[in-house]
Amino acid sequence: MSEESSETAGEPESYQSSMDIELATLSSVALARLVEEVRNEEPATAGAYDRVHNRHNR
Amino acid sequence: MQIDTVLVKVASRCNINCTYCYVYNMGDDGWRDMPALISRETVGALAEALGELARDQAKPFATVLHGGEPLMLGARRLEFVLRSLRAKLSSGHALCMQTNGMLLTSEIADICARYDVSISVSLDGPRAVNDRFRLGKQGESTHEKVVAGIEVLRRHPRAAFLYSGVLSVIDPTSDPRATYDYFKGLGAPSIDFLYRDGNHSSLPFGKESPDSDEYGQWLSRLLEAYLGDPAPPRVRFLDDMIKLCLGGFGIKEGLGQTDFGIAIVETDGTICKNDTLKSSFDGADRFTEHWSVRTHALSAVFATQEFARYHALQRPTSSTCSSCAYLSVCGGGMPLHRWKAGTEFDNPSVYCSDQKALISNVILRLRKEGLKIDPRLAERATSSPAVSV
Repeated sequence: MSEESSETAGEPESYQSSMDIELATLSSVALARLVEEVRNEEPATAGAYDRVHNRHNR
Repeated sequence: MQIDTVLVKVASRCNINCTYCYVYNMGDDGWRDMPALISRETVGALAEALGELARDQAKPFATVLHGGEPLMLGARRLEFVLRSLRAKLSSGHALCMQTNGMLLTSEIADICARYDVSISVSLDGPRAVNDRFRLGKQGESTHEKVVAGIEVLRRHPRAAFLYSGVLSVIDPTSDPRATYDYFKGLGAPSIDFLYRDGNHSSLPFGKESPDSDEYGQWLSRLLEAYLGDPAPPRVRFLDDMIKLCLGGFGIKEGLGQTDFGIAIVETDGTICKNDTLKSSFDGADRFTEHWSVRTHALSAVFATQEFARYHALQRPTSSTCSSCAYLSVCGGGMPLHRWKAGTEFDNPSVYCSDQKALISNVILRLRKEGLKIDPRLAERATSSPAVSV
């Protein structure tokens, strides 16, 4: 078992497999970017201001 | 209570008159009682208050210059504001500006670059789309001047930092692909599309009924354009929705179930709720208590029960929402869109059908790509007879 999968061992197998997908098989550049970001996301960053987008009131 | 955004009204007036504006044209007239521009004294108090908040709160927050139109400050006052704020806020605390772009000059861009202020420009699309609602005081076009302002940013040596993107209110009767392509042509690194302000008592433009999904269909067509683009910019709303469907996080309120903390400071220093609530009823953004950066510490205000009740408003209370298969992605939408005279905010979003239509299409597309959606969403979506996935 890899380090990553041991960290997410509580999650259903089907969900882990979505993160294991080969990005090159995706037909969309935007989608590959987003899958990669979700893979690297840490729960601690939830709600943190993201400088990729300008902040405003909604 | 963790605050991620302090949005500062440095000008309470605007140099244009968008017919859909929630500040001036949706029934709230709080702006009339406010100083036209933030004073030097209030800027000083604000800077002190923000510096204190930065020491009190471990998590960095963003400070957004907003209005009215923030560039009505003029170059000299703008520099004073930014110098004052930067003296108290390190580079880890983002400074941003949301502007209509009409007054953007090289001098303004240089000042923003000097104090590390990123700029987002409000523009709804190509000329015909933009000039339908975003008009000058005499009803004249604004498009050309806004695009000229964007070009100032694009030509600046620090364009990659300064030009953060565009903010666009959706016209559901427009062509989403044409709008998307237009913004790409303007070199926008990020496009933030917004639902039009409105609620159950005052339906948003273009919605035939609360059950119709004109905006959901528009966004679904945008989704196809975005996902088919070999060199896509960022589209925040779709990025958040896709990431949430994959089990990730969104970065702003209105989608997902992460709590965000935002406070507004008016030009006189008064601390208010999210000003988008103005579109619900006159004074909806006001606290019962009168708090001001001139007299109150921000941390103390954010620790009050009244502020906590406002903060909790972002979580939907409607039973329709709590039993919905898509709650983890939709999050009940923005509070302003839940408003209805009588039941107040205890309703699903007026964009509920739109959210469902778009989420369904996102899920379909993710599955088509071989991706598995968030199991919480998948389990609830497949077990709910109300939603066809």
